[in-house]
Amino acid sequence: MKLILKKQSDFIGIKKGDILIVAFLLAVCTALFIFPILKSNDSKTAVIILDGEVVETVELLPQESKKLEVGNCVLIIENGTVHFEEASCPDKLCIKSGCLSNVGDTAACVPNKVVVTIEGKNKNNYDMVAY
Amino acid sequence: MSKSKKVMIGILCVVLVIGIVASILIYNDRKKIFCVEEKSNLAMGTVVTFKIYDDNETNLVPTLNALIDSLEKTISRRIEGSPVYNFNINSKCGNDIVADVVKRCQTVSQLSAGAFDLSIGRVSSLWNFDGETNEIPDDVEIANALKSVDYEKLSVDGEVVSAEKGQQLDLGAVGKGLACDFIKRYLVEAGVKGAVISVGGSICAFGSRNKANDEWRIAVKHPRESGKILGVIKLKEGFVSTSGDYEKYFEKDGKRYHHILDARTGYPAESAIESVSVVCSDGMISDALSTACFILGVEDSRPLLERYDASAVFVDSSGKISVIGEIDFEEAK
Repeated sequence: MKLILKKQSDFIGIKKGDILIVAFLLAVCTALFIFPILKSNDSKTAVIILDGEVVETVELLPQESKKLEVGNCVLIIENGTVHFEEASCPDKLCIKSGCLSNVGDTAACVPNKVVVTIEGKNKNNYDMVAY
Repeated sequence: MSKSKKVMIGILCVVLVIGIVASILIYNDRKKIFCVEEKSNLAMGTVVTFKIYDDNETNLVPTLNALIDSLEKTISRRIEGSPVYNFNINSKCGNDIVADVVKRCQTVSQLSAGAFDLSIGRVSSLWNFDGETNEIPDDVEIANALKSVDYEKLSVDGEVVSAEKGQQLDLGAVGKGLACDFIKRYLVEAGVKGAVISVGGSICAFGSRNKANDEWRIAVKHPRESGKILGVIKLKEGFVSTSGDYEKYFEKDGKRYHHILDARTGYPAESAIESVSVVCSDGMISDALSTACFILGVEDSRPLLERYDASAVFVDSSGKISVIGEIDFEEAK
């Protein structure tokens, strides 16, 4: 094997050192490409806003389970999702919004001025949701 | 192998590696997301989400919220003293924004054979989808209120809008799209690189989030499966408005009564459409078209969409998706 490599190397005039340099540069290229991907983190946070003020931020972990009372609403955090469980509003649109789990998902109880939005690195294949 | 050949190969290798490194750096730079000002808050009685992209950090959301508040104080029929509130009492008001909206919506009303009509105010008040009651109004009351619904009786003279006594305006169907228009105008003037904004689900998108000028991807909410998306619309610039029977509704005796009223009947539209998303180059028109298309159904919407060079994605009650016009829509798997 060594012999063949030596022969081939001789044929195109490449030495072991050259191969090392190319390998090193290719490694640098790969690192440059992968670095931005590795830099991003996957954590998602539910940001809860009451009357324009952030009142709570909760990281959405699969094992996290929490019941939060915000204004006249009750929010449940479970299995990496958040949803409105109870609200004193007439239309219950907030409860109908269902579970939020993706970055950028937002639900609100307009009469009670409660907004829940999920923040984090956008890994969705979309920028905004039309409804 | 001659020495010069070796040198040549060496140079080629170095050039190749430099080329690869440079391409990767350029690629990463072009794909790098600009600074983003991202915020969700309540405005105009709904959730507004801002994503504004620029080279440097911006702080435009407070101004935009003020802009939306000021617009709401003009077009809301519930805010005492607003031009529309006054119109609904005096059958007359003078306001350039209201006049412009009424005039342009009259054309949509005409092209939709009256299915969409801003003079539906009295019927909307009876149904009161924002209230607590969730009651079907009395047939006679609806029939009486329906008599006042006629876009042809609205007249616009400069800034002055007048109507027959008893006619009432409801600009709710176009308010969010109109806000999108105002926001876009402001942000374009401010010279930001790009933005994607949602005013209660009506979307405005322009510019880009990176130097590569990547297109925007607007997801359409699934009308029946909570938390799921129907698919993604890709666009460089434009407005997306959705009308669906799944947001504001109540159920009585197994029947769903949603908030999109057919101005010809005074009752929730029965076109067997669950959701329609319209893509158009104007936010207010986009909103008007989505309401009109929801009421008209797929086939009757075609000429209307063509007239405005708009396109749409419909979902009917059997779950069938129909795409009309040139639109880059990818169904979710």
